[in-house]
Amino acid sequence: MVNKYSPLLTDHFMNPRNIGRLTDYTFKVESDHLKDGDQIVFYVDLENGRVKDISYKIQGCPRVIAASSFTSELVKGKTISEVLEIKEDAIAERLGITDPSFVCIRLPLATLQRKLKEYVSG
Amino acid sequence: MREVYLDHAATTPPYPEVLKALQESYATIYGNASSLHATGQKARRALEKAREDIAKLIDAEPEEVYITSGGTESDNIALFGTEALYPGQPMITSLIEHEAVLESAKALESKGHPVRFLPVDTNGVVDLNALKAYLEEKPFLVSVMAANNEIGTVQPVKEIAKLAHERGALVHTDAVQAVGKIPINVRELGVDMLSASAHKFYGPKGIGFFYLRKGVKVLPIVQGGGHERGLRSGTENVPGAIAMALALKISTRLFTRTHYRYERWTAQILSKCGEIGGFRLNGHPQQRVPGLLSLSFKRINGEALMELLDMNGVAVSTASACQSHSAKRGYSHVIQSLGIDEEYANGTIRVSLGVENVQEEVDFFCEILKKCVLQLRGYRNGQ
Repeated sequence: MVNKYSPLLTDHFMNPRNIGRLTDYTFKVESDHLKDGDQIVFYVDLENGRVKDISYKIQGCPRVIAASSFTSELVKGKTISEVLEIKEDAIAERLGITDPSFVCIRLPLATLQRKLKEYVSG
Repeated sequence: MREVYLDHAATTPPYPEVLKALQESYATIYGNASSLHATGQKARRALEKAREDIAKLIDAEPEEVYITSGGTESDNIALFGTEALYPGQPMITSLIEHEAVLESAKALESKGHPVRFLPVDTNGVVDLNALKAYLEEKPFLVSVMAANNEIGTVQPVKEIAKLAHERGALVHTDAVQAVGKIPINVRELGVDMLSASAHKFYGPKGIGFFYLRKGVKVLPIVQGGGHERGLRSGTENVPGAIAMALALKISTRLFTRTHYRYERWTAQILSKCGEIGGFRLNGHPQQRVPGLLSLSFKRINGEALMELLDMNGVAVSTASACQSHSAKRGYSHVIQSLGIDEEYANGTIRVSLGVENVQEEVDFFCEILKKCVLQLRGYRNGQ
């Protein structure tokens, strides 16, 4: 089989980390860009300004699944400001999807950052 | 890792006999069929023999069969080769045609031909009442596919041809997904033009044919040396034509065997889908191409399912593509036309069986399909 996806993306798609639904969470946030029944719902538990725990439920393309998984690992343990500083391109590059038309690869981080901005601004 | 190929509606692996014929003819029948010397005439005879064989298999006259580069070219000849003879007159096609017809029809629209697109019912069968209504507008052409490439529904082409001819319209059918898969008899269908492509029936890629009923006028769309009785200029692909004729002969001979096997395997796959739950079989329950299954799974992204199956060694195709970046729907125009629930439509894959498949591969597919659907549903449920 010829792999069109990077090994990292394939791994996160086939074995996504942090899938689930937290029972105790500070907020949950849903992506507003997916269509046709696709969705991501993140559950985020904040403690002392840090992402203590994160999980999500997801239906979507392989890239958005892998990106959600990768993003969840990346933000776990980080402070809110550290999460807000992560560049969307960094995730796309790490997962090997550089075509900017694939908004899906950027969507999980954008969703989380949008909600965190709302959260901090009260 | 095991690799199971279940995407025969996309393309097929050539029969070993076809590969052998191709290799041998490239080595020994290399002449230009237009050359007058013996080497050229040898190629001419081989080409005409291939044409005769193809004609016989679809009940046409040899001079009604034109060798082309495949389905897309044949479809283009049918539409662009006739439109100039009927300036400004409308044409009718369906909403679920292959892009080779759909895009050509749109191009005709920009040339001043009003184009009417026939809707389909939930089984993907074209609406004959709409056809009757549009025929009142005196179209010059009706082009409806013989069998749909995504859902396998076989269209009532015979009835369409009868209705269209009563109103004086020409009839073309894109039979790319039908020729070599189900018996096709051009006399019985009553069509004026038909398109076929060899690689869909275990022949080589880049070769196909165009059936044109004797007496029907079509203009060439490519200018050149006047090959193929002036309709299709360009040095004839003789080895390709030989291989195509052989592929069609073998496929036709295997109909009974393949149809029996596909029926059994279809029942097995559908039974597994029933076990998985939340699925629907798209297309007409009976009027369908054997071995082509369009399956929609509820609350699944079709692209994710296709990719996960691929990563597990099974090649199928999907009608879904990521459209998170656009306003378009994520699934195809065919699936959209069926009007099925979005929760199902998004999770559509196409499984198309082939003559080289064996029981163990179907067993393997059934197990992998269940595993993959449940895995993706688990992601959605947060499990």
